[in-house]
Amino acid sequence: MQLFPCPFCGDRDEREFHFAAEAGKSRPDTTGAVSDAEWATYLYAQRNDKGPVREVWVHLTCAELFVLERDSVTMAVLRATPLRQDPA
Amino acid sequence: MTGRRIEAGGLIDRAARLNFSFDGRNYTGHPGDTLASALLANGVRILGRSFKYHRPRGPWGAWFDDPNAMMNVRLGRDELPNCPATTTALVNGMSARAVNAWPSAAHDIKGGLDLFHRWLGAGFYYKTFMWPNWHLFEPSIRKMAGLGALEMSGIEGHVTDRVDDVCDLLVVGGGAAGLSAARAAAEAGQGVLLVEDHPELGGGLYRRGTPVDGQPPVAWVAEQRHAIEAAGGRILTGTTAYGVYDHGLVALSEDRGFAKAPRLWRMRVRRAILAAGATDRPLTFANNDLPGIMAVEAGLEFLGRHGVLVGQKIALASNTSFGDLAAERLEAAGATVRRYDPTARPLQGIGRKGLEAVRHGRYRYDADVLLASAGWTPLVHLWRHAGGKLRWSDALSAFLPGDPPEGMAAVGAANGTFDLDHAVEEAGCVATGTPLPQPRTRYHIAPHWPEPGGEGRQWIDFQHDVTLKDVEQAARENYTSVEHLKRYTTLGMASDQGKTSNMAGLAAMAAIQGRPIPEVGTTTFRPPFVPVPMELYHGTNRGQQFHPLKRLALEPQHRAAGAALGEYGGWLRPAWYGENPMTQAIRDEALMARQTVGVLDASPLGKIEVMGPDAEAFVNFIYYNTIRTLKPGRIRYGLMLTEGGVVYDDGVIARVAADHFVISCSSSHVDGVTALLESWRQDGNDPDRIFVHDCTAHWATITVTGPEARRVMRALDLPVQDVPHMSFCDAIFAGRPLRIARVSFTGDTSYEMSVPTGSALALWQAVKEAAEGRGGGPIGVEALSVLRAEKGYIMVGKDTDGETMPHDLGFTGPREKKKAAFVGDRSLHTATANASDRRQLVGLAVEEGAPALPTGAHIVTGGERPASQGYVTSSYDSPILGRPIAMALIAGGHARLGEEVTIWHMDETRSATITAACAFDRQGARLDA
Amino acid sequence: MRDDRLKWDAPASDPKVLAQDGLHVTRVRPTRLTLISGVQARRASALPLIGWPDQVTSEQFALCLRRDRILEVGGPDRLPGWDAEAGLAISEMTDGYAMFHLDGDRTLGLLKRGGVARPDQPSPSVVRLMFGMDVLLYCRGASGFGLCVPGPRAETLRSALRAHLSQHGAEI
Ligand SMILES: [Zn+2]
Repeated sequence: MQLFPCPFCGDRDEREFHFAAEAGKSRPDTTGAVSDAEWATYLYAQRNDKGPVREVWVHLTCAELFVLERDSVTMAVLRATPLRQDPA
Repeated sequence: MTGRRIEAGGLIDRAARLNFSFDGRNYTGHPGDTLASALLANGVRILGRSFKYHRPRGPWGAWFDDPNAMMNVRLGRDELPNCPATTTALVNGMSARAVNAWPSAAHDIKGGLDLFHRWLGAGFYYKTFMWPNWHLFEPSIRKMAGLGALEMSGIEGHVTDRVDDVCDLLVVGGGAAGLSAARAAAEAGQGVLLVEDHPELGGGLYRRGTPVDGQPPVAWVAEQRHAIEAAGGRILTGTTAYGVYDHGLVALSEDRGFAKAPRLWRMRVRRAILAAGATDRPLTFANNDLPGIMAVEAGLEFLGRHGVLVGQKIALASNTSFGDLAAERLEAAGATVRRYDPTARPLQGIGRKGLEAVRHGRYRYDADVLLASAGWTPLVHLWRHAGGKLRWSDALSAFLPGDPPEGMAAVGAANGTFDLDHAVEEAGCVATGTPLPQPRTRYHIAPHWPEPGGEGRQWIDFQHDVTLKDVEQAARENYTSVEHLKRYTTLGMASDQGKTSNMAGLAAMAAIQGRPIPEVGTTTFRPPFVPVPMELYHGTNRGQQFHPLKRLALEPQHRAAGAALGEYGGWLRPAWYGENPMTQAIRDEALMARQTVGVLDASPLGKIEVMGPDAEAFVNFIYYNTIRTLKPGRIRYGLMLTEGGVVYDDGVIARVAADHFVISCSSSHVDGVTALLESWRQDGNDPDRIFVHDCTAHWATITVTGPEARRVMRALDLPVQDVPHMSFCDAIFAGRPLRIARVSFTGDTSYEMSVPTGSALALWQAVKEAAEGRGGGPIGVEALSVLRAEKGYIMVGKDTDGETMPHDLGFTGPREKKKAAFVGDRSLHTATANASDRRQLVGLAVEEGAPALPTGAHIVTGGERPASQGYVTSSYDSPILGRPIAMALIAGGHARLGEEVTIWHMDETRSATITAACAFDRQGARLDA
Repeated sequence: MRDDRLKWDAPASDPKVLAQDGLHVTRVRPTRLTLISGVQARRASALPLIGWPDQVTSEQFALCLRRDRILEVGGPDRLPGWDAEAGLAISEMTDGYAMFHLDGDRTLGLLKRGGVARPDQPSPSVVRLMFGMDVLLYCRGASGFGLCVPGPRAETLRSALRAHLSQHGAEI
């Protein structure tokens, strides 16, 4: 059972979290022309790296999405970064 | 009779006697005995039968390293299968029976199977029963296989207590090393938890009885316990650390007595010290499985812990320096001991139902017990669970802890530090972080491994009857990887999970292939370290706690009205009402709603508020349909898609204000839709300009539907004049807000009324009374399903599947015209989305007088080999139409209206005609009647 | 379809969920609950903002649920909807949560059966997964806790607590 850090709530049991997406992917602008290949890449292409990965996770209990850097081999948690900053 | 109780010594209480029986015969033992030690003390040798050949077996080990003595044990009304006799504490009144043996372990009628061993080698079942089909043979083979038998009545209150906790330092193992580590750490101020799987602390100290720090074991152990507790440390005995999981989570199983479910501790630890000790591994020689052949350490353990001398004429075959000490100890207890060097010449066990003699080379010697050891194997299981590496030690002929996993250290025998004084010193250093002394050892071993080609049947895995010849056969058939070897021969898959067999198995494979042992490697170590009951994995999450449903505020009223309750999308909801049989009740309710008025508890419908300056653009993006143009006060039907273009949910959106929407998604999708909205809000939009509140739980929703619905509303003095179809208005009911929405899931005039759940009872009673006054009344979800199907209204997930896109349902507009981006938009224009044979939603009409089609029946092509063109998604008898109706997803269905098709179900075919999905009131005249 | 009404105990209405030595669980009815979201939500209430393990000392406070969301308990009446001026989204949730008070020195032992909630691990928010469901958990005095679950989960929580107590009560 892993411990993940929510950038807002702090360390919590992995059952409070869910994987959302690999980080760094952005949605093609569908108001313009998007090729089949480009769209398929967006939908289906996953890096699925072995070792350090950057992923978007969601802390389900507080609904915060954030970037989680972790190691997919050792399960070590490297860093958690909020997708947004705290209001000033 | 070979084993006997000695006069003094051990941790048992000789003053108290415990009565028990084994295979129908009565015996006595003492507190502190296990079933195995008590039976050995009574001179019983055969405690079980092997799994495959039903060979007679006695215990090999004295603790969790015994694969042989498995028993069904009954105490009072409670019976447990597959109890290891060596770890089951004796309780007065126990009645034990050997598993896999009938009528008894000593006289097993299936013992004759052993005669066929020549044909029952590795892979026998796979190869022999392949043709024509394994499933023909499986039932009878399964019946012969298996160990203990389950008592089907279960055990009252056998429920695991599961506790989440944390500690700074977990010490696994309460032997000399563990106690020393725990004491040093606790006295240095660390928060220590020490766990020991035996009921008493002390680990292996009682085997040799040698003093520690000048004190006899019992006194030294007591002093350590006192010091640990005085320094604030916690101690759990009878507790096994059986698995190490990610980020320092260790699972502890705490024994609470026979037939009581163990307690599970989910212990999050900052640091762990592994002091789990080591076990003897078996020597591999001909007939090494005979009752009477056991581990040297087991012989010493029965003696030192239980006061049982396991034999009188003991043969001792050990290749390590510990053999001398063992011999001294056994002789001092009154046995004659003769030592054999297993490396000098081949050993052979002689005897039929137990050891009678030992052949060593050409000579034969009488012996009632042979204590054997091929060396010590450190217990590195938890180390491997945690991700630690192993390294091979030539000096110790064993795998030792290598590169450590984060936060774990190993000490004592588990770390290959086999000498007592060294182990104690090492443990103190590791616990306090002081430098370690130079590694040294007095332990000496003359390596001895299985020798391929040897004579006779030499057992590698006792319980599963895997012999050296099976390993040789596996190698010949190219199952040479240890993982393949394991699965092909089932070596290491017995209930001890290879604790006794793995080293011999992989060493045998190494010898056969001429490779060094470390190159062959080990199989993967996985939790649990010892078998644990399934109760540990569910705890109190059973019965109503297994999959708890959401409950309606009005459930008491539904029960009072005689509602049948069922699960619908995670909610417990009224399926139908009253005492009539189900079919009749559903029919009556559906007809009533069509003829007068039905009242439905629709509270689970989603009430998700979307607010903020970007709310309009956001819902317009989320929905397939255009929402931007929706006016405040109005409602629109919409589909939500996945990015793959598949219909995910359908529902209605109400616009409260320019910057305020309420999404009413389907009942089972509220959590999913809320999560989806949050995900798009934060990842792709400006989260400071959109806010999503799931307020479903605050509101109860009561729907009034039918030709009399409007009159019911008027009778309650509720405003209906200003609410045209697909709009809503806000009102006050009993001093609290009431929202009335004109939407219809039945095709009849309908009002959805939402009030805070605290006012639900008052509204329900008022509406029900008014409806009943007009010949109407409550309807359940089943009747609603009929009503909506008559209209061809879909239920997502029932009338759609993982491929259904909006245009398959006839919603083509936004796909062709919507300019703004929306979720799933691009996926609606791929070759797949444009294919002409997409499965499209249609209706089906059956032949005059024919019964309803089975839901799930396939629409098939004709000819010799019919192929599926789709299937029936919903099918009912329509009371208002007086005939069956159905909806189906059929390839190219929209262009095939009027076509007669073949329906196939369970080898029977019928015909039906494709129609529009809507079967009732196609003009929609009743919607606003 | 089958009738499962006997499979599920009828929901209990007694506000006294449990009453044992050292362990009392009572359902309480707050006067008003208001869900408030916005960039400045955590500064939007005049009531004390409660994270974990902050102590609630009166009947009026604001639970911090998220970076941008609070739940006012016993707060002022507010107009629901989008408050453009304050930049706040406001929804009434008075009937949306079931609120329980847990009191007594065995409470912490009971909570350990539901998950990890340690006073020495502070968190700005009071949301967590306990007893398998999303809850709001906060401290009330030395050995008291407040536990809120969505209304439809009230019975789930009641029966979970009762199951722990009936099976293992003596040892908690
Ligand atoms: Zn969080």
